[in-house]
Amino acid sequence: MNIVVHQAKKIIGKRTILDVHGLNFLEASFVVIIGPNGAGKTTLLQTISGIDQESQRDISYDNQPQISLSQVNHMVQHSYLFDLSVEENLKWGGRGLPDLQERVDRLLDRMDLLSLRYERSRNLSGGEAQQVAFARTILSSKPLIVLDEPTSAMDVAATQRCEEIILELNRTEGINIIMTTHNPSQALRLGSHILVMDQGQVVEQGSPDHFLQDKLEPITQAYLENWRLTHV
Amino acid sequence: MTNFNEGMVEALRLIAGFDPEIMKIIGLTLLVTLSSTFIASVIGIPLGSLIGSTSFRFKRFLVRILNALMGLPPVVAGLFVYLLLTRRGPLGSFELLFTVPAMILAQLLIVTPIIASLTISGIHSKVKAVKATCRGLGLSNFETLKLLLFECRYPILSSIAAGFGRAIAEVGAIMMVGGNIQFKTRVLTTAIVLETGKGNYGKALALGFVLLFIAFMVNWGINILQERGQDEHRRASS
Repeated sequence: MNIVVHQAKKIIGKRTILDVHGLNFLEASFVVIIGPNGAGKTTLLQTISGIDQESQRDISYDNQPQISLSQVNHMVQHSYLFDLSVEENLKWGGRGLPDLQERVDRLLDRMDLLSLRYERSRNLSGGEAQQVAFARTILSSKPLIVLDEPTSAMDVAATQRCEEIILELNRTEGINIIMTTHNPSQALRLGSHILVMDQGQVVEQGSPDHFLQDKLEPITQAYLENWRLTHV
Repeated sequence: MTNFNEGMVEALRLIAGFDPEIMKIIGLTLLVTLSSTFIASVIGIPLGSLIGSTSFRFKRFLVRILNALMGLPPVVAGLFVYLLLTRRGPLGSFELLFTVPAMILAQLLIVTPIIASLTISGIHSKVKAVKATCRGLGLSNFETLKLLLFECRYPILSSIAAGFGRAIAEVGAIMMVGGNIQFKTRVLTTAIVLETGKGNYGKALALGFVLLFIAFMVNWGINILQERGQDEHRRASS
């Protein structure tokens, strides 16, 4: 799916939350958005996936002005797990699929969640809950998957498993992925294209190689430097 | 104290002997209260769900009115229904005054705002997260509403229980529109007022015990539901 954000804008009170234009997300691309808190990452994701209906938007999806519910799955930040078992939660992510049970079994196995299959979501830890929300989002393999800080609460092993799965979905099935993270090294590992946002705007973008060079925008430089300082 | 002791003995005798009048009063109380709570739930839960899960221009105003109506004095509700049903009133031709339907209608006016308002509060705490998640999963509006109601089932059940509690304890409105007629519109609360006035403390106490028992059971149920809700809240915020 080729997505072109001609313009997306959101103003709350006197504050501009989002003001971007001319973004082109190519078919089968893996776009990772980084930037400080309040940069507008979540709003941009929600505008693209259609969750945020209040933004002014001019976006085309394969030359269509709207995206249908059957084309996108979006894992929101602090995704809500229904008060059901892990398996039942997953099934809400793939209702109507003929091979739903098979997909659920395979994904639970792949994500090492089989032992939690019948566990009520209320009994899960934060990291486990996030893994279930992630699995529920990717289960139906829709053409566009949007992930808002999908691994922020996960341990290293779970993060690695999730990264492998989304990379595989992107590379073998050609699914478009748009994701945010506060971990620039994760952005460099996964993204085919990286956007840096600040104060509602895209301040820099490019391939992972672009971000390995020295001449970066001062805002990007400062953001990466801050991250390095806290992760030495 | 002698009155109280004598009353206790009399109460035990009447309850143990399945006194026909007391049984009739209990039956009528449950009929009126359960009917009004059921109808109020059928109106109040969808209304509360709709208001709580959508955004529109006068939402805050409407919620404030509903909240204010939670404190509607029963005698005012009774007066309103009385004027509606009296022979010269707009619904006078139905001849419903001093009948069970009139009592149900009066309780309906009192209980519906309670159930609707508490449903709105219950839904409010979860609507944003559930709607965003459902929208993210590509669920339809109907599926989203279904899941929202499921997720809010404990506060909604609590609202029904609170409505029932208010209805069964109500006396002013049903006294006005029911008339407290023996074997016809006499319920626990109105009977207690009457028997106390007549000095029949045993009978009044017997009825009081039954009312207390039902109210106690309802409160017990509310507590259990609230505890489950609090467990959920703890889980959500941990």
